[in-house]
Amino acid sequence: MPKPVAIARLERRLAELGCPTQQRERRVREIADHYEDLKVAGLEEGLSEAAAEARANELLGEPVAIAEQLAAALRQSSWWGRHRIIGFCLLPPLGIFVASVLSLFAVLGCLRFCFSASEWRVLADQGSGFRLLVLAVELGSYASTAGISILFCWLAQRSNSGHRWAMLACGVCSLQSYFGYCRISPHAVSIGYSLSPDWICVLIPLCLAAVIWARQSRASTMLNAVSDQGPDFAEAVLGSAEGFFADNHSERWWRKLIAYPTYWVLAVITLALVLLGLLAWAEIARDKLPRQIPKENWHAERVSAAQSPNVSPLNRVANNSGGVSSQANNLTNTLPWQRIVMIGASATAGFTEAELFGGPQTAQYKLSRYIDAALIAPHEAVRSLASRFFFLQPEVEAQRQIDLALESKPSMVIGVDFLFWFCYGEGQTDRDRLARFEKGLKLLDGFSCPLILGDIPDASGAINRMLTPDEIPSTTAMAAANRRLKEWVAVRHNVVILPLSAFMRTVIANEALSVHGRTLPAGKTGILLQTDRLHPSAPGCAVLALTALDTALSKVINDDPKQIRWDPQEVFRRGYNGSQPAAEKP
Amino acid sequence: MNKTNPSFLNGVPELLLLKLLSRREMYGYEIVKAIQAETKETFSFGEGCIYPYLHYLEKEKLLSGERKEVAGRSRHYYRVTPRGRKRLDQLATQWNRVAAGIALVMEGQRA
Repeated sequence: MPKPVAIARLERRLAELGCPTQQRERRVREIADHYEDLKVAGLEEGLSEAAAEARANELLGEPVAIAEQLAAALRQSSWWGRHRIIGFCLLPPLGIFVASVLSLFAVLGCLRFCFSASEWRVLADQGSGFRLLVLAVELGSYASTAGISILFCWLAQRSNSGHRWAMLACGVCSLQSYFGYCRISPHAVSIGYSLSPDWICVLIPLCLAAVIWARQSRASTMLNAVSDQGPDFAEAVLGSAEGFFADNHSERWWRKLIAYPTYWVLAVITLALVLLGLLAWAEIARDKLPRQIPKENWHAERVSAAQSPNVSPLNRVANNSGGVSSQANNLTNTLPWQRIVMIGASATAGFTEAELFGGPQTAQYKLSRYIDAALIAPHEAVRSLASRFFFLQPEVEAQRQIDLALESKPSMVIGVDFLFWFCYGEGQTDRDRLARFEKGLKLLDGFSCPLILGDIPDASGAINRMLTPDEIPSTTAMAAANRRLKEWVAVRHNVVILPLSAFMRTVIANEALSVHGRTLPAGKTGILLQTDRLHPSAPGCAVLALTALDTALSKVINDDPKQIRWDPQEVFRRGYNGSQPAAEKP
Repeated sequence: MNKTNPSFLNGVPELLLLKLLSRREMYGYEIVKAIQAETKETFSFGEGCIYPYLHYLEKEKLLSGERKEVAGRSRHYYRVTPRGRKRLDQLATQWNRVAAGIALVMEGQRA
């Protein structure tokens, strides 16, 4: 039996107001019973069926008003219904933040419960344990975002606040997920706000909002289909109600926008989505930037570094390469570039924040690729023993790399960031750090081949990005470590210092930088460092590789500089594209 | 802290409903007829308006309801809960005091 028009209107209005299906059905059924009782009473009084229905409609009252009163009564009986702005706009971000922190602690707590400290170190050292940890933290973050979004949607439904408030809560959750993060990176656990979103977290609440919208639309369509029994009858029995709807339809859109808070909510969601889209576009554009810059700006100018007043201290070291030390004559073998081995940490191994555990992009940040690309002289593929997980156990990892390097009988060893974690990282006092640094130097005693070692840079710009404040040594400790390195190198004819600290300083200050007489102008060198302020970008890898080779020619290698491509742009292009130039001719 | 009392619940409908349902359990139509009979149709209202009050009182746990089948028809019956009885006592006391006060004023006007 079809529902009377008044009851269908009541049901539709309840659905529009977001009354949960179960509650709606119960209320509609109860009022339909009442309607039926009124109709039966009319028939018993001798009225015709049409007249009895008309009277039942009249006595029952305006269905839209009843629906609104029903919804309001339910809403008013709940705190969430009475305080919707606090409940669905302000609390969701807080909820996600708290849930993310709790999930992080839960994951770390579970792992601590499951593994002993030594077991965990072994797992982390192999990489797989750390991968598991990051995966668990990410899943925890997704679960907390989804859980909080679902919780607030459920609260909106339970308090009869309507689907628009549920969708608004989802929008707010999505915004929070866009800016907020809770993650573990190879160097730190961090919770905070940034402009590097995890898109899965952003999309989870939006998907939920889409599901709510789809369900609501479906329910409205179904109820509309039920209630459409012809306008004549509806007008006859519900003249005033029809007038209400007719007025609504003829209302101008901008008046609706001003008059109804629900449209404000929709406007806020639309604005949020537009903002997200713009930020996503900006993010994509920023990712593409390093690939375009070299073509546009890398017009290397072959000028004398000595004539340039803006050239940094690094340049003076690099430009000394013209005069090869006489000691080098004794050290270089006949094929100095033949078998190069690289040792060190993440800056050598290749690292990008986009791929914490490696991937197709990470390969483009491997320093060995750019050494390969720079060398014209015949040579074996440069072997990299560097590890991104060096920081977990510097001494163990360093020993492993040195053993492997010695086994391979290298013609030259390059350790750009080999000593970094012997000064950075754990260390209560400067004394502890210097004691560890000494151990690092001692490990290097085994090499008799040419050895290029990076000094200790000031990476304090990476605080709260890749490094925690506790991991940064004091400036005194850095200076002491570099002094000790100079002393150590001074008595070893096979070792030369690569001025990594000067490289970092120059690049951070965006000053002019020269490598083998080619100057990158001031204002163009900032791109050589990634946004994490710790690792070189792909163009930075090219320049750093050339700096290492130039440093080698300055003391420990006696060879024709023409055996190297000195054009940073060309080296970048070849290294980035992964060409294997070992047997290539210029 | 007291919850905000919605404007549509000014106390009188609540008192009427609790009082009528304290005598016996009733369903919506029956309640409306009881109000009309006992007040001799003093109040005129759309009968559907009774349900928002009933559902509000049910949410507040002053009433409880269940669907029952009586004489071949299934209906939702409401009854007063112990909490509802306490509330009824409070409202009745307040009402008697207010009514007595108003009566005194009205008598004074006549004099």
